[in-house]
Amino acid sequence: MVKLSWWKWIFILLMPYVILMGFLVPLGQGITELSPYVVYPLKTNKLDIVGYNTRFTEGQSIRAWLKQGDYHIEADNIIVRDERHASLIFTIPGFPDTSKNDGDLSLVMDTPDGPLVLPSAVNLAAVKYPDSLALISSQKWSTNKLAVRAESNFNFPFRNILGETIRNTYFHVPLWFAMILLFFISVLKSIRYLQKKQIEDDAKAESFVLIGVLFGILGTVTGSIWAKFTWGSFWSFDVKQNMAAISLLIYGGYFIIRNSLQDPDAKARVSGVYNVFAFVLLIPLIFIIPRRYDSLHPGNGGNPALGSQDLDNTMRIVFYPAVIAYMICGIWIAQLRYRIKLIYNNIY
Amino acid sequence: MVREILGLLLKDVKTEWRNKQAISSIALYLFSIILVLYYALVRIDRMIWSGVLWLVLIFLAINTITVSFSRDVKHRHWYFYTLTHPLSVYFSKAVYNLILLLVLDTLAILLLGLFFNIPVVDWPLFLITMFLCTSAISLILTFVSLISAKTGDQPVLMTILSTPLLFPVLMSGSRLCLVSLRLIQDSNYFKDVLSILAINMITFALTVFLFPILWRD
Amino acid sequence: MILLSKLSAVIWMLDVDFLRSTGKIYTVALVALVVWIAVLVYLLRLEKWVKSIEDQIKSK
Repeated sequence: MVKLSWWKWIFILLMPYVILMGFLVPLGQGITELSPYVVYPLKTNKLDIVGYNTRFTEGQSIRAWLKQGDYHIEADNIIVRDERHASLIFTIPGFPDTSKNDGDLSLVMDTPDGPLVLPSAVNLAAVKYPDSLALISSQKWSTNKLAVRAESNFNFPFRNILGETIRNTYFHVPLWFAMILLFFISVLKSIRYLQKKQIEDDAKAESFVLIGVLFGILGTVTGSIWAKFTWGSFWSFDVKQNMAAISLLIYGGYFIIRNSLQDPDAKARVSGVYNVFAFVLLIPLIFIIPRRYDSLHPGNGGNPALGSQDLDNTMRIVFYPAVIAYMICGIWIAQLRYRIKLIYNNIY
Repeated sequence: MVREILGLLLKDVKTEWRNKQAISSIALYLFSIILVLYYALVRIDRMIWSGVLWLVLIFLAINTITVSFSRDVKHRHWYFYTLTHPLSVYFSKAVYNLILLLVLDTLAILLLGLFFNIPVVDWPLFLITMFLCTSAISLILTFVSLISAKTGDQPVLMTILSTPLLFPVLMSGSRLCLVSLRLIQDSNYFKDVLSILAINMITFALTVFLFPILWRD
Repeated sequence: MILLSKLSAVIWMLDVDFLRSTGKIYTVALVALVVWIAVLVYLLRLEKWVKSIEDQIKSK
């Protein structure tokens, strides 16, 4: 066997963990279909739901609420047909807050396996009703804490559009983290070359940029495959997709510069300067501009993607090791490349 | 150093004023483009006016800066450059390109107004956008042209390198242009102005650090 | 009957509801593991080769 550095062993141990956990942990409960979309006050509404990974038949204690803001109203009856199909009967006397008379209601269910939430599930139609009913309606909506049981199994969250593809988070997103790290290391090596003028630093910078671009291309391809199944098409001209493509083009210019210069010292100097220039331009491109525009990517149009909205605690257990594993993989491949490069420069 | 910048700048402006070579050739390009557009499109709707303007601006920018640098005969001008601080070379070139681009941009807008109309509603925002974008483009492209002059394979490198680097300016600038035409209602447009200003400042700071390293021959 | 009519209208996502129970997810995980093991073996062989050449250069 080959004697390896300690950090390469971390990669060897973490990657099977990420793959096995990423694929074998089941998904939590969710609702994939709900009809009809509109509920009317002063009427009996029957909502048919189709669940995912649900077990409606086990255990009789299933409850359901429709929620708007702090107010919620409980279902009168729940008819369970089989493990995944059920009907919920709601009679809604009026609106919780008489000043707002329309809006989306979320569906919250309490099952033996834990809570089940579908945000913006139905739309409450705006209907005029006499003021005498306002008193009755405010009594039926309550603001007590919802009594849901805790999640009993270890599973990944079910998000509506993503479904099972949420597992791709472990394989697509760490590619970008690794790419940023590789570009950062290459900038450090470039600056070191510009200060100390040792040709090894330039070889290191070039290999790290190359492997970073490789990871960037892989990230773009995996991202567009993921987009095809969730957003509908391979390239949606989403801001983050565009920015990723532009950064890859900018680093492509790095290789064009290197190819057009012959003298190794001039090559190293000019491409080192361009490397720093491109990296400093890259940071606002990838991090700041996408936050300014609304985007299809989860976590943009507002907060960064590592908030609690997008990354559940159960996912973090697999996500952070995946990021570390990909980073180490990138550094290992880049290190191998520049060692081979140095060998060829020595021989020829 | 400021005197060096002014000296180099005046030299460039004087040579330009005497034979008007660069500006007239680019103006000719510009005029022929607008003529082709007139024959092909006959009428430009408000909807595509901004796109046409930006296409023309990018074309102008890349051609102007390629021409203005390749005109420097290697032996004669290089002698001047070895006497002066590298940054004064860069800044004189950047300001010269800025003036050239501003003149040509105004000419482009006037010509577009002559053949088609100018549907600009919000003039102050439009003028500020044009000025900031032109200065950002001039700073970035001067830097790229000096890099590519070092390699000797200038036109190819210029076009390939400049296109991705101009994208952030393009995105914010075209968005602001659409806002000033009132095609989109964006109450938060100040963020775009700030981002173009930030690009200007970042490029300025970067070149102050990086350019002297690049220039040592 | 309602059940059958509902089941006939499933979308691709619901086709394999409990992926574990149909056993298909194990295939995917196994394929991913095999691919990763292949990459790892290639990396280790490269390391061995590079090390041997570097030792040769050092000993010269």
